Amino acid sequence: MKELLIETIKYLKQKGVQYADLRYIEGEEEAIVVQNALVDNISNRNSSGIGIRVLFDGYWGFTSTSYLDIARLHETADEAVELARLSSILGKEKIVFQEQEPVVDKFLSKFEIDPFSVSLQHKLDYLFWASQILLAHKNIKTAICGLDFYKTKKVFLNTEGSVIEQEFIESLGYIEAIAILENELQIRSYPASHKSAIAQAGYEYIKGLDLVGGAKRIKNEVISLLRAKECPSKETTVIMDGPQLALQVHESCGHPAELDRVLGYEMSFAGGSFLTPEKLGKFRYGSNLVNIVADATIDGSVGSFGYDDEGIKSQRSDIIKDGVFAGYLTSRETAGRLNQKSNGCMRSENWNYPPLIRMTNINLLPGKPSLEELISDTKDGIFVSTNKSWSIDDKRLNFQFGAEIAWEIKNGKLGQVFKNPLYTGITPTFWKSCSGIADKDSWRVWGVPNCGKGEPVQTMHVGHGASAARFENVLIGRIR
Amino acid sequence: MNEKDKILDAITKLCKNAPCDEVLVTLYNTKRHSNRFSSDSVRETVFTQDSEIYIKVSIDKKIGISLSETLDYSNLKHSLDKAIQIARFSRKNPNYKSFLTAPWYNDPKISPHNITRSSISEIFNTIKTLMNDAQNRGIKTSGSLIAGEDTFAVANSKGLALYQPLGLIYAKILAMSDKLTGFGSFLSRDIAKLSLIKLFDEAQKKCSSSIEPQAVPIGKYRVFLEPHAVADILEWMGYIGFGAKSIFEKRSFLYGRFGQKIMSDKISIYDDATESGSYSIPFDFEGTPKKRIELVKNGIANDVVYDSYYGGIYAKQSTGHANVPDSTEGPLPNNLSIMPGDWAMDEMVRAIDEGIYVSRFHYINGLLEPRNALMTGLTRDGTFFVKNGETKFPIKNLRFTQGMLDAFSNIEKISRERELIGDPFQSLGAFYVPALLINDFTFTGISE
Repeated sequence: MKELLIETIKYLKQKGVQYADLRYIEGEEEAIVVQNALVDNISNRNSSGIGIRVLFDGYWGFTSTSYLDIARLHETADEAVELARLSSILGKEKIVFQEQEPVVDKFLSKFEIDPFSVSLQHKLDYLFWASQILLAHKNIKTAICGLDFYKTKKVFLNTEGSVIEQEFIESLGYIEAIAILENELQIRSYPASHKSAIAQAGYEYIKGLDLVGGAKRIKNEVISLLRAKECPSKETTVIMDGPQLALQVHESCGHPAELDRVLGYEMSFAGGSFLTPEKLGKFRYGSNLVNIVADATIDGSVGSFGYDDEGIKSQRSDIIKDGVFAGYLTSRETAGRLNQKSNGCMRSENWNYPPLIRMTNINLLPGKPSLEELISDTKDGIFVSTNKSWSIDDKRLNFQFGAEIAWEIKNGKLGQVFKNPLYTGITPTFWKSCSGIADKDSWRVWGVPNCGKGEPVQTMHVGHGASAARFENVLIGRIR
Repeated sequence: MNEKDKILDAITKLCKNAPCDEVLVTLYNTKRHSNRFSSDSVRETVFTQDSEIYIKVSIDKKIGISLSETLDYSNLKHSLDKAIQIARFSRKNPNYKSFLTAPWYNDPKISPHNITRSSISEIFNTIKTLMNDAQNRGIKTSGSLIAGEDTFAVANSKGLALYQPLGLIYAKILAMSDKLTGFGSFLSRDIAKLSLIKLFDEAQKKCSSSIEPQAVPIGKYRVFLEPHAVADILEWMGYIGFGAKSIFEKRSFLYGRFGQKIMSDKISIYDDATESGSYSIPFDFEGTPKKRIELVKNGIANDVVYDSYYGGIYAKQSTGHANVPDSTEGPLPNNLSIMPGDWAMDEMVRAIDEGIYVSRFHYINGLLEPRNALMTGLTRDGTFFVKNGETKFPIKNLRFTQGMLDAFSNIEKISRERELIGDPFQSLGAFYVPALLINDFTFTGISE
């Protein structure tokens, strides 16, 4: 395969491209879902192909092929150049693309047990066990238990001479219980909702999730929600757990920091960003306690890699430092527009899509108190857990999130359960009200495996490290 | 061999003599030129091709699904073997009956247009001229264009063999003045119908006001929802409530309410891929022809859409709404429509004493309380305050949090004009919807 790619790079150089990169990607996915003690889906996907991106006379062209022979690759390369010529019709000024020293390297994600080597029988037994625990209660009408596994091999070559080989294994597990009593319907998920328990790891990660233990816990919680009071509507102190905060970071910190959004690339689709360039290094985003980094170097997280899809080495950079907006997520093209170097955030969903600026692991760094101390230090408030709904405006300012469950906090102790907690706010006001972030004991990296962006729309696995954190004067409860 | 014969030959061959009880092969190919453009920054031109060939098999009521990406026989055979291996190790599902549709003839009425580099180049030149014209008037524009040729084919071990080529053209324009934005989009199977001038005009008229957007207090308002805004809501209603799986899981806002009045008797909602002007595929991922389904009839909950599996559970025929074989969402409507009313859109605005004009919504989420169709989202690209029947001034974007059964019970007027709205990267179908005038629509927050 590498020889085919080298030959195609030579061909593109002969055609006079300014820059080109080729990505060969080979992937396998397995999805298993058990619903109400019946198999709902078992499926396997295989995919392989090569994406060719060229910068020709100042403009980009991208195309791809799944036919891996030299004649087809030359044809595909010709087509990419033609598409770049087409781009020039709409272009106003030619793209300035930063040069990069060539890299020859390999990156293998760590894992102990290859999940594709574990028998289907074993995986099904595990899911049926968790499912049966949930269904043991008569009010639990739907129990969904699932596992997803991903194996990806990438080979990247560019006209600068880089040759980078990377391999990744990812594992994901979840359970969900829906309980019904008369007109009341409530849902609880474990370890988190929306498939957030995903890691760059093998089957050992699934064992560590303890879905069976989790099933016992959420079974009781979802039943308690059926008779719980509605979350009160008021302005109060709110503590949110790691999985809830992970999505808050994703929507209100990760997306607005994407420099392509800031520059208007997503304007007609997902929107822009309030983080305009003059705010860089000056804008008060949060309280002094808030430190957020983009970190693609940490082991085991789905936003980690050796190199991005432009051949830039993975790195850690500040997004928010001591509460002040400190940096964007960038690419080689966009960073140059701010006289910066790329911090390595370009990734594509697969071989047949061009790379875009994507979040890596956007992590809210842990603070000092333990979660217990954070709660015991709160006289009156609400603790919310596990995301249920999310919505934010096209500049990433006005947000509303819903959670599966909440508990009253009274005199430093968790009290009664509340159902349907919803909270709303404006991004900088919310983060400036942060009055405490729990320590590393409750800090963990969660994933968002379905982050959509771009046209054509691409889905990406991104990570978010978070512990629980406390916010003051949050508007919670439904306004009617 | 032409493209049609090549595809049908490969997928029908796979269905013959396979060592399993049933085989279904579904091919969905997309070949699309897409481009994002803007007045002040450069974009890329992308040609993407996706080929997804799903192989679904059953052995003794056990199902296996595998996906391949090329028509190459050895790849397809490998994929079939994988599906069979999965089925052998799976567990029996007593609810499963059969996913095989009996053979029928599909007349591919929708002919594909011929997308060439020169036709795209011509469109790009027009876009550039219109962007420059707008910029000369102080308006920046950005947008995207998709021109494609898709192919949908289904074969099964009962002898079914269906093939459907599908052309598409999609364009959208966002116009931006200093403080305001406006939006327009166009979707069709026919490239000849694209009018970029009309689209640019539509987007620009929303941002032509020189008045800065004002903040209005949150609360309940009469709202005029343009067809785009109605489609944004309907998309979520389809996802959370109009599919049989949402009834099976008792999550749907229709659950337990069939035959009951749940909305104003002015409104009828249906799914119809066969309607003239719709953007659709004539059969589903099981090869079943799509049927028109009346979901809400004069405000009364009437029905949902089915595939073979949920049709089997409820002793109903499939309505032709089977989803992608490895989806766990169950059957979903792809061509939701609302019956038109008697009103011209400008008459509807004139009937508002005091209210809010909404062009479209952004980032709706309908998972808050699906049984009440409680949703939240924000206005976007053209929100105006209306007084005495006239749009007075632009207002800052508002967040709504509203149960849609209540909202659709408060419908006062429905327009007679309808628009086709969709995004080919997000859905296989489109919405065909009128504008709505609704009383007591609840806004709960203000943004910029």
